[in-house]
Amino acid sequence: MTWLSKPRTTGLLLISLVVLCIGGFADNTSQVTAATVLDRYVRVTGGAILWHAQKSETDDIEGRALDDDRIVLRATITTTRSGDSVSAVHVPQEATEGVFKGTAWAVSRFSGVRIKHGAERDEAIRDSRMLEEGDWRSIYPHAQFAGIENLNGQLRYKIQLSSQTAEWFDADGGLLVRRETSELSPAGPVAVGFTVERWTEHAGLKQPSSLLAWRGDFHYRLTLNTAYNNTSRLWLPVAVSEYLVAERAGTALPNAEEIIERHIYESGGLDAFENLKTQRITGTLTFLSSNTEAHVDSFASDGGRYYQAVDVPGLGLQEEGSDGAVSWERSPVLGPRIKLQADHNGLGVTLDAAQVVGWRQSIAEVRTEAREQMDGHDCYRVRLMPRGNSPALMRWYDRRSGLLYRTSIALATNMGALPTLMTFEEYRDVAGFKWPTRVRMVVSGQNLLFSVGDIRLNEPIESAVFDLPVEVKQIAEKKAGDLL
Amino acid sequence: MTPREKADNIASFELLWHTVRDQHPDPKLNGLNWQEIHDSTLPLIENAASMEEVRDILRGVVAKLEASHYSIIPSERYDVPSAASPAPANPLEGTLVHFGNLPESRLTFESRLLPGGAGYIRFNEFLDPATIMPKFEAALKSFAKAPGIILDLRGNPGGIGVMAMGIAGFFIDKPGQRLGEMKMRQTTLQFVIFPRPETYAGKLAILLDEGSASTTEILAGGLQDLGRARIFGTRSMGAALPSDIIRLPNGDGFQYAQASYTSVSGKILEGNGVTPDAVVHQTRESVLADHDLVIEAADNWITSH
Repeated sequence: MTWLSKPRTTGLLLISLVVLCIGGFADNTSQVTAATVLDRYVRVTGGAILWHAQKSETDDIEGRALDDDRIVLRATITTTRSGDSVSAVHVPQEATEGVFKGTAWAVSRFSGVRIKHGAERDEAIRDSRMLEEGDWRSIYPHAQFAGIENLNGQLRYKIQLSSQTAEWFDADGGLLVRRETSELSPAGPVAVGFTVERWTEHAGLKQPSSLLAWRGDFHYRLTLNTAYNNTSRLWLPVAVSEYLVAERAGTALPNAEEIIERHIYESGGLDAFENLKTQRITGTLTFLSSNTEAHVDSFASDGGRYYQAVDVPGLGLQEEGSDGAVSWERSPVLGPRIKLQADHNGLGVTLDAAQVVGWRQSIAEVRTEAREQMDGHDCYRVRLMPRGNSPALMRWYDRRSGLLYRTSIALATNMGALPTLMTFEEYRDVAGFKWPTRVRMVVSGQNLLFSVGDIRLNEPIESAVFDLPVEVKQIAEKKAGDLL
Repeated sequence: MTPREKADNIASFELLWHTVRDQHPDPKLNGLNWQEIHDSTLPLIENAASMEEVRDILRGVVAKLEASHYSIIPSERYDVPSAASPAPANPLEGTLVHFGNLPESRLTFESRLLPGGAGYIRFNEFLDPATIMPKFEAALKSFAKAPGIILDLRGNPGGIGVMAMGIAGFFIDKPGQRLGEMKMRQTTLQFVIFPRPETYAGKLAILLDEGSASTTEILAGGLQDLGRARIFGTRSMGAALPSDIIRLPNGDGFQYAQASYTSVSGKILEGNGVTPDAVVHQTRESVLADHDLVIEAADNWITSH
């Protein structure tokens, strides 16, 4: 799950900085090999001696979407021949990552320090090396000449660098024209690549300075400004040094993003949540201090639609819902009411699947704060700071299962912030999900227990369930009329 | 007392003691040495000879807090429906209602048009909103053309606190208003008024007496502060702490205060009550003559201006 905190486009940028190899070139295509093409490329871009004189390369990079020209990436990336690197990313999020003496690290304002391990570390180390053409034989030992192709009326030599990565070179000039590869994404492998638009010469070396790039269906233009031998930007952030000390001492805490993503993975996975279209959950809400039991019937559907009815003895039917546009509530005590956006939604019996998948959109920062025992559960405590003025919320994740065990939040209600502690227990396998079937709650000091009776996921729900009640509809229409 | 009863009483005392320590709105517990009270009371509970003695000891403990909304409800009250509820004028009137750990009580609701044209509404407790609120709304609709409404809350001891917000919503048409706020240990909550789709704009007179307490005071005090209601009668009880009731291990109920309460203008109602704008006392003669001077004063105010 380590891909999750990685700026999605940085990897593409790193692999784009390919300036290749050395050697002669045979005009006889029957003798064309990967070596002849790649070595020729090195020669036409400046030559091996000049390339090897450069110890580091720094690229200021800006990416703009082709459709609306918005900036999607702004970063400065420094790679070195020794393998140390630093990438300072400003857009889409403030983050820094790099490799220092074999340690691949990442720091973001969003989630703090993360040390990369396994395949992600291997990838980071490979991408951190400047001028990979110098070592292309070791990096791509199975590079193969894959034929001559006519691209836009021009002959190109195709080199298959690996099973997933191919490059095309101009048959006449020898320059790199196109690169295609794939990267992992939350939805699986995604096609990424670029074509070179423009070349610029720096210190006698030719480098691409404008690329038309894509990632899946998303197309953007990258502009690069390259400088060499400026290693002053290389450093290991203090936070990373401190983390490494803690890691050696066995006291380091895992990155919060990884903890949250592990919960998503363990409770069903991103794909499952993206495809969670309907929920119907029934159960019993018990007010423990008064031993009062309320029947709960809750429906949710994609598009932000939900309906929840809680029948509380002595209080009557408490209803709330949304048709995707208008959120409302109705009770015998307060009558019908259109809810403001700031009002919280229900008991949290049903999940907002879009919120699960896109949890980062509402969160400004996350941090793992501690490892704690909660009711005998060995947990990580994670603090989430929402965007805007909402108060921070705390979550405890079970280390063994990876599942969410407890949350502490001040629920925003129209009466004020309601301190709420929710403990999720007895996870049950339901339609590919692990779903908590017992939720203990402490709301402003009052103890409640929600016990799930029945869970139905991705089963059809009559759309009329989400229709606004007539009196709510009248209020909504009146409000709309007042605004005109 | 059987060993089991003694054990239950000790457990009840411990639960009461911890509940007060953790929930009482004043974290200083009225300046008491709460631990000392625990240590000196426990032997008394252990040696108590009867349930009544246990209850008296517990009542003595919570009385030291000098706050309303503390009571020990004998378990028998839960076993005999309606026995403990205030008797309505006609005992056969009203509906038996049950909410949480409150003993069952009879709920009465009355609405009528007075000869002078004012509407009159009275109910004896803020309970069973599923029944009371629709009746209230229907009565208001039937009084839509009346010059004013008299809401008679004399003798009404309160009930479900949020019903004050719900009732106020029938008389306030401007969003964002509130009756006051309750401060708990954990948070401060506002008694926000949500205007109903249709509100009553005529005059509102609220009648109080020494038996008007809690939710009644929250509603009357808030609407008085907002200038929406004129209060007639005598000063209310001054028992306005939001509370909860739990069952103790020995079967008794324990009512305890959860929050302090301040009206929207900053008045502390606990211990002070709501002071009427027009103080009107019933006299012996008026009662004997079945002549309600308080209603009459309110009616005059509505119809004479």
